[in-house]
Amino acid sequence: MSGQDAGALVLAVREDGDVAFERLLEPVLQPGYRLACGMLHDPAAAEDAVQQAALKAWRKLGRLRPGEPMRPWFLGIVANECRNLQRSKWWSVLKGAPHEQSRDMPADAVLGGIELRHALRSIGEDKRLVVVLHWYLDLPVDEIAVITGSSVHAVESRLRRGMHELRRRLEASDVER
Amino acid sequence: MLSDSELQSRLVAALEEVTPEAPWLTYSVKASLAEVDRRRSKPRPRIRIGTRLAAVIALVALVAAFVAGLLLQHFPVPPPIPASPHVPFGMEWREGGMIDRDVGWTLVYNTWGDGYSDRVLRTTDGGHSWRLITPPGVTSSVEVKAGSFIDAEHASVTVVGGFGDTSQLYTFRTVDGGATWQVGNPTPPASIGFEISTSFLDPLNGWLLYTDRLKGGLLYRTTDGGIHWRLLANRPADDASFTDPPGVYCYTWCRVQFVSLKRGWIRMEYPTAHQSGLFVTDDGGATWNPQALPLELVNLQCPCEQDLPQFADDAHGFTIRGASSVTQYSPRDPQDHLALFATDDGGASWSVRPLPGAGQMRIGFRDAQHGWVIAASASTLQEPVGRSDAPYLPLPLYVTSDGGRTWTPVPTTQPLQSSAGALTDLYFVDAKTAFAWALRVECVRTPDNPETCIDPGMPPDTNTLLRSDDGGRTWKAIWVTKF
Repeated sequence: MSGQDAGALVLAVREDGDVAFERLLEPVLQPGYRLACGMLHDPAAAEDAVQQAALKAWRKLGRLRPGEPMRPWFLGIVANECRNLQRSKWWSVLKGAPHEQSRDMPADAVLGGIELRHALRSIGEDKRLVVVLHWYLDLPVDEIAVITGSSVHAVESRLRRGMHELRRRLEASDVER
Repeated sequence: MLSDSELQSRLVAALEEVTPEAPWLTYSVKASLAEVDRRRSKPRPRIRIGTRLAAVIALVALVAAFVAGLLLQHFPVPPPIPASPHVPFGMEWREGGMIDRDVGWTLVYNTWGDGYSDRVLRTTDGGHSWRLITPPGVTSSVEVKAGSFIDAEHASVTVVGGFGDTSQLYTFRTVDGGATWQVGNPTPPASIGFEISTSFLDPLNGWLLYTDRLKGGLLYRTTDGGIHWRLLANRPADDASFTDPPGVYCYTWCRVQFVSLKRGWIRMEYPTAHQSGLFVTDDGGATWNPQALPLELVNLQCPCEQDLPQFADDAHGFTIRGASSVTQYSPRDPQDHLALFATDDGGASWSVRPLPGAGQMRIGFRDAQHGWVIAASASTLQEPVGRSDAPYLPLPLYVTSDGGRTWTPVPTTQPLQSSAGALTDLYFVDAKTAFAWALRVECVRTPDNPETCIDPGMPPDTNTLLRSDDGGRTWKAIWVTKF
């Protein structure tokens, strides 16, 4: 969806409500879900986060200016929801069953995945967010800057530091193995 | 040292592991938006709901159906299978309800033909005829433990014993009025003597409460209509609950009901004299806190048998409770110590409102203002009435149009009072249209014990569905099941 189309849809949403909003929302739901999975590592919680983000986006659509791209705005809300979920008491009592996909994978790969996710969780929220956005969602740094509300320079810096920490932690766990 | 590209590929692989496909995401988000929209406008009288909202909901449903159709091709659960066309002869109504003047669902026990198994029926002509829509795989010796009939097209039923597996619980969902069903992943194995309670807000968002003596209460959550469940919270069984008083057949948590994505209620197993037996959550079910009611309960036997509060919308709820400290509601015997509690703030605070009549009562509200109460003796409502020559008690019916502050008696007529049997349920789908279920058991009373109803082996029980189109004044039997 081009920026112009999205801008027209934003106007349409204000005039015509929900139907246009769904058209606006649909293309960004899957990226939002990937971001939430990348941040939370729990698909069910990620779905909850995206649902909550969609509701908030609906209520706060007035803050999105015509012509302003939907994706970074929505991903920013998803990132916030993930942050809220991680910080709330609700998160601490979640007992989701382990994801089934890893059962057919070699044990080394499973272990490697667990270690990497563990390392990712330990590098700090702001750095984790830019790492996931850049390396997992494949977003350019200027869009990440819009999502995180910071400068391109700050994003690049966080990305470098995040990757450095991630590499260090992984290498340490590789040595232990 | 790991290169950037190596690190990136490991990162992507690790995160892909926790990012399964979510084919229902678009649908569930849209359904949530539609649900919020519906709930926002619900407090208004139905007649004022604008065409714009109706158009939005219809379009959402169309888009959702289209998206669901596309996604079903990749859905990882067994594909929909047609419902069985066979309609059994003998059925005993269990629970269910009419969605509107035409469409209704019901669960029935089938006690004839192919063993003691449960069935799901649906009507589209106001209850005059019913079609069997039981999910395939639900064969003999299967018990339908819970049914949630969400609207005219969507329903979920949870069964035990499906597919010949007597210990697994399966939830089936239908999105097309029972023409096809999808079966979800089984929840953890069930133990002997377990109970199930389900609550669905919309076709996707639901909660399932499993309880048994060993595991206690386990609360599961689904966001895809029961296909996948995840454990949300649990409460171990409290041994003291089963010994004091002895013989109490209740478990830990025993019944669940949600009124929004965040707020819900759980009925507690066996409260002490200082507890109301109600627990409330404001975070979707992860944490629960005791809900204080203005009055203590009189009946500590098994509060699971008492209904949870009924909510007409997010704010307005109603419940009848036995009360020990309200003298104005203390007529003849302790069982008559009943009071109507109402809340206008989602259950944060409750007030007592007048309750017409006396005796055991059933209450229902179809919105925040309009409700009904049936009041009669315990024998009329609780026990099947005896032979046709046995006296039938009148059925006082009262309606309110101001949220239970004042009540108006409705003079009811035949056959509700004389030949249909004991009333087991009654509800209004709009101001004029009401449905009632009555159960009649032909008993043999012996001279030695005229008060006891002896089962002669196979009594000709009769279930009757009654319908009123004039606000409950006159009733007509429109469907009778008999075995």
